[in-house]
Amino acid sequence: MVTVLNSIDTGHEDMIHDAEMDFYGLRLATCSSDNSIKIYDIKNGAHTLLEDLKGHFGPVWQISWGHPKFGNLLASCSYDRKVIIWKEQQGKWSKYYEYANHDSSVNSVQFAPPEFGLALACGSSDGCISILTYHEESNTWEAKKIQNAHAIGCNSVSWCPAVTPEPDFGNDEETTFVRRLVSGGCDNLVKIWQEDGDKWVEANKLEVHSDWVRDVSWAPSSGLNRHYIASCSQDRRVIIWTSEDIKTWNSNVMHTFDDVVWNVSWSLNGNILAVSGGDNKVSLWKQSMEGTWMCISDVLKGQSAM
Amino acid sequence: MKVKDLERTANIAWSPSNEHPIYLAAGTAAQQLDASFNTNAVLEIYSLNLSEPGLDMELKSSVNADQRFNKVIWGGYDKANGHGTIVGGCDRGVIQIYNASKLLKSETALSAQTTKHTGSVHALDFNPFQSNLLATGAAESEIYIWDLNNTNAPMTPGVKSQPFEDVHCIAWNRQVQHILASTFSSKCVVWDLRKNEPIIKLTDTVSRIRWKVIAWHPEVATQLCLASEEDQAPIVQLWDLRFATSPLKTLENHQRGILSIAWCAQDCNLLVSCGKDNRILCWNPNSNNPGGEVLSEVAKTNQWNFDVTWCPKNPALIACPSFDGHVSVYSVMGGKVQQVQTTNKIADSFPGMDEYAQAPVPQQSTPASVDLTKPPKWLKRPIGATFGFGGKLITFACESSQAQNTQEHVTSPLIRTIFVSQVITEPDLVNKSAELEQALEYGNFTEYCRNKADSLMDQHKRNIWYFLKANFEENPRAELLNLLGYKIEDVNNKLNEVIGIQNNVDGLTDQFSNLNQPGSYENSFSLDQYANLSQNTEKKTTYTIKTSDDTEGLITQALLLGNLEAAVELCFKADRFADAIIIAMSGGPELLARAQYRYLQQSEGYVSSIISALVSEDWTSVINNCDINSWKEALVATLTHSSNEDLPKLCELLGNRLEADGKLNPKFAQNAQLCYICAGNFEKLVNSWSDSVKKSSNDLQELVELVTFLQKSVERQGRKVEIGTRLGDLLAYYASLLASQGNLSAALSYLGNSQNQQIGSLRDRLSISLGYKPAYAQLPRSRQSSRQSFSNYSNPIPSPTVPAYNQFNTALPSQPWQQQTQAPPPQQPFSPPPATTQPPRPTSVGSAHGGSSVLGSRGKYLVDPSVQSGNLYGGRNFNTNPYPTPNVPLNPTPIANIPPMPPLPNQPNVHNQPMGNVEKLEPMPGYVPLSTASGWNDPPALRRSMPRPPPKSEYSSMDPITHPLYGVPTPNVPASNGFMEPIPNQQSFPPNPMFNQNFDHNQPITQPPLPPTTGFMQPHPEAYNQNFNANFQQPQPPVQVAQEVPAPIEKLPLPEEHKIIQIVFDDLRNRCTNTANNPQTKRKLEEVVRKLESLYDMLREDKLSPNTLSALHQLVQLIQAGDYTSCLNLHTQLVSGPDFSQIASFMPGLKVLIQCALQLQVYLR
Repeated sequence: MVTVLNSIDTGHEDMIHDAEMDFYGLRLATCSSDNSIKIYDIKNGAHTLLEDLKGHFGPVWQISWGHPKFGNLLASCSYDRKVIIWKEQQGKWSKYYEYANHDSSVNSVQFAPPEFGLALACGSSDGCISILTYHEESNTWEAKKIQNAHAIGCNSVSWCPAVTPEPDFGNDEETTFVRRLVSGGCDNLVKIWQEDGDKWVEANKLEVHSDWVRDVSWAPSSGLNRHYIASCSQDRRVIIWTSEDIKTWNSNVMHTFDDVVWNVSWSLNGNILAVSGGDNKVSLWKQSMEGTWMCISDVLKGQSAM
Repeated sequence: MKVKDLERTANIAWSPSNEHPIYLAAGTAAQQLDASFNTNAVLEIYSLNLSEPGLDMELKSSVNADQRFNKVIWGGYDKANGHGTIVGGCDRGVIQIYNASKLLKSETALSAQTTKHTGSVHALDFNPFQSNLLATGAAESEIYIWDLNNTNAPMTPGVKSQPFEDVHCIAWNRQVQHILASTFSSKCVVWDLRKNEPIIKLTDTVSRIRWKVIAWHPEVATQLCLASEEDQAPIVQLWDLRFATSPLKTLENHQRGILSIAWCAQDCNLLVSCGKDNRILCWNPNSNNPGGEVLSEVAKTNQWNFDVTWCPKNPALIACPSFDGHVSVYSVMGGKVQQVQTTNKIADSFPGMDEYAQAPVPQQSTPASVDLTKPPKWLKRPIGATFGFGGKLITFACESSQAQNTQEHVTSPLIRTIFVSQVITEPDLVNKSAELEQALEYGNFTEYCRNKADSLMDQHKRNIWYFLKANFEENPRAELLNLLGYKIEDVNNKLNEVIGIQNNVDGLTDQFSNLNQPGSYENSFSLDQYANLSQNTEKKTTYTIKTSDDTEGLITQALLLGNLEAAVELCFKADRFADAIIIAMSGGPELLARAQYRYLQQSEGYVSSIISALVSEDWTSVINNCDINSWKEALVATLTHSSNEDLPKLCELLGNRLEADGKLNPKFAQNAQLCYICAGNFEKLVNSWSDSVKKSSNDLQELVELVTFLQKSVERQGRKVEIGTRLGDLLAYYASLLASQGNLSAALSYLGNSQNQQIGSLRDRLSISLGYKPAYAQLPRSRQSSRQSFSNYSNPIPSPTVPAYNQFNTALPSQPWQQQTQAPPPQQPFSPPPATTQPPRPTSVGSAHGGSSVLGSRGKYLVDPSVQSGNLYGGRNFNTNPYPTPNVPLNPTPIANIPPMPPLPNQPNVHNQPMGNVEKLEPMPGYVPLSTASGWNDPPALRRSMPRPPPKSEYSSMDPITHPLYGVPTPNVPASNGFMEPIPNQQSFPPNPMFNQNFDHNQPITQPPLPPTTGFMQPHPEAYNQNFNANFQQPQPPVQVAQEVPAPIEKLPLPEEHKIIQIVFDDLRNRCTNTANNPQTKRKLEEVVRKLESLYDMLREDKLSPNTLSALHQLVQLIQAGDYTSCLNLHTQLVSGPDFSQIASFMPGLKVLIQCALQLQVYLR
């Protein structure tokens, strides 16, 4: 059941490419081909424009909110080959860090789960993935680059959740997590990367898609002892990759759509997948008890048709 | 960026777009020789192999061909659903047709070869709509249309164009299937195959041009680009056939003749061209820049690139064969050039020929990344959906993919609109949770349990709910016994029948009724009673006391001499147990105990065990030793006899036994749950519950309901509720589930106060999300204030239950928190805000005051959930105010013998007050009703004495229930529930504004408490001195003064974000009032004030849904813009919306106001 609570006319002058709610659901950031990023206060169903960030010189493809424990951070990536981390201080947003070490459009940006520290992954059309990690002692950002991650371009990156799958709310122990990423690109591949010492190495190369992989998304831990990755492609398919041990992955074509699939996004507890297609349709999918994936809702322009 | 490279001088063709993986066909180019003077011809297929690093492509197959190729194309035509058909145009009029599937298998793949043409075949194209149609062009203006199903008899598109020339290029229209264009050096001819004739000829008379290539617009049927290979005019022209007199645009950047162009099928804003200046350029042919807009120089090579084609499947790729012996695949997306490993294969295969090979191959690499200055369409994600906290879904989409091309669509509102939706995937859970919350709120536990039990099919579950229900009955134990099949009265009746003694029944029932307080249960047989009994039943017979040495005599002797111990012993020996016990009873407790013990030792059978337990008050043994099938009886006994302290332990013990035996009989496991319910043991209950709760939300919901009610019942018993880890986890999981359905406030109430990090962070997230805690600012470390509501599980006092709002409006914070969120940020001055931004609101003063003094309007303020939690104590609905309310029993009407309550000058506007009252008050002399906004004029003295409202946060952080200060009861208030009965002498007191229902301790109070006629008011000033400032200590003015002075008790200010609503509406209303000159309108506007006040109250209490709120803000914006018509539309929309019941109280007022404004032409600016 999908009920529209609020519709926001963003006033962007060109296509919107991403819209993300912050950790608490109190703010909404949007980015657009008009090179700008807008931040709205959406408390209590209202929407007030808080900020209109202009710092990119090309379309802004994606944005990502940092975890509030690191302050109020927003990362953005753009066709102008740059990644900018914005920070709010005293109610004003300003450029906090700029990373310009890609040779082509940066298509994807995502902050790591907070357990991994303050870190950011970026995927670019130059085929590389950058992982930026903030070091508090030296107040510096360290960049590691995966060269040639995807030939002719990486379209999407997504972090592995930090929670090693176990019954949630279990122990409080501090464990050292292995940082992992999944990425998808124009080589039709989905790849899983793993930090090994001071390098990032390719852990898996998942080859099922027959066209560009548009988006990948590693599901937040659902409390079940299983990892889920969703990938979607120009080949009109959404594939769900599952693994019990993060070593071997099984693929399962969730559905073949009528049009290219642009975006897959998991709900916060990882049990619903939103799929956005080129036919202007958003649909919500859920796995049944038997393991099959079912469409539970079609959302058209935010309106629900259940 | 160069992606792949092939060391061939070859004509190439990409595999069709439906082909996967991507292949490249390469046929040896005619008119070229390599360094080895090889004249062989091969047709090869390479796999693009993008997933492998490096420039090499993988050779899939290779066949020798008879002829070298001028052009190669690859189409989808394939009868066997294979890989399509590859056609090569060769010299001497040869056309070779290959089956690609066979070619890939390296089989004999040549399916046809024709020699119809004259001269070299340079022009080839497949029809994009009918893959079997092939157009070819050769020398002498020859154009043929072939049907690949039958290649014997080609058609011609019409009469050959004159003069005869070579056909350089041929291309089917991309939109209209029967249109074909062909280029000759001097002209471009467009054919209509249905008419079988040329329909248009394009010639540029202005410049010296030699047309080489034509490319149709991928989307606009009438547009095409023509490229000239003339070095003097190396241009691309964009023509529109509708205006065919001259080109629309000319793209000028190549320095020498253009050899090929290609229009990107996926993005019509991209066109690549290559030429004799060795450059490959990417253009936006639709740009209006004069001379054309070059988006990037894709590459600069060493030699001419004689062809360029877009990869049909991967739009970022182009392939370019060049005369330097390379076929290169480039990405237009930029990126660094890979390290090129030049393996000189020719040199490898012909040792000693290094010098020849090396000459033309000085590899160059462009270090800079080259990408398009404007992003291609395929990078622009047109649609997306992301999830946010609390089950929110954010969606955005473009109207249609075509909208991106035309600029005017781009700014259409739909493209820029983002929708925030609530996703509910567990509607049952949400509904049930709402029901549960509601039941908890209203405190009708018994009814809920009964309904629940009745709605269930499963007998065991019904039992469970009946057991729970029993806990809420007046006499839980009796009810439980009843459920176990022991209805006390029935059993007693049965017993009486058997015993046949009527007069003991009373005693028995007394005894049983005592069971309700087992703790106070004592042996009810006293000596007095014995005496009474013996008197009644004494037989008047005489007897002789024998003291012989037989047993009886010995006993008599022992009794006579008082050696009771011996007497008892003798009795036992004689098996006279009853005598022994009776004697022992007179011998003191020790003897009795021994006697009892001995008797029980000797006797056998379960009855004695029970007697033993009864005597020793140790039921553990019964529970441990009884047959497990007698669990019910054991439970009955426990319920009947054990004390409140022991009951839980004993029940748990029994439960444990049952559970242990549950493996044998699942029934026992279920019965164990009943025992745990009797024991009030959550942890065991949760553990015994099936593990399916994590998978099925229904099971989870059921368990949570169970646990919640069990908790309530345990609270009722005055026991401390302890939450174990397991249950805590479960509730946390339940909370996270509720949160994911958007039910944040309910979720928060289940989180307990666990210190678990994950639970803690979820709790923080929820409270911040609900606005209970400030986000983004430096979070205050002390979480004292937010802890209160989580104390549900540790606090025996029922804590505020969060009211169950409509689940879709979960963004609404619950009431007790609202005070916090409304608390002004610290930097805000606490002095009365300037009148311009927040005019004093006498109306609200009146209503607040009136609200407290008029009983009928009390309900309006009973929204505070913490207040409502009062219900939980005893379900008494009237005792809803947790604050001590010494003078709540205010007399609603002024009493005759005392001067009536000073009429407030502005009270005419008071809403919710019976009209009679208003009218009575209004005509008080000396007061002219004042205009609300500007007319407020307190006497200066009073204004000065207006206390600064103390910082709210100070108050809001206080525990609303147990604040010590306000908890002090006033001495002369009856401690019992006198609150509804007016106490006679209190009638003479005017209402004390400070104790109104709202308990607005942060209101500025300008009216000191009225002078008391008795000591009644005395305690109050002291109580308040600590919080309110000094003017309370000033001598209180006489009654007369108080009468003249209105009591402007302000309500809470509106939440900061909603103030604008008040400002605008009030402003508009004032302007209307000032403009209005007929009394009818004025009266209407006065009515509006009341409605507005109702609105403000709802805003204060945060009763409005986000939808309504946003609509109100929209309304305000429209009013500010003076767009009243839209206002009214929006109004209609709102009123017909789902929230009508919520907004019904004020919407009519807004309508009147807007209509008045429209009528009176009143505008805010």
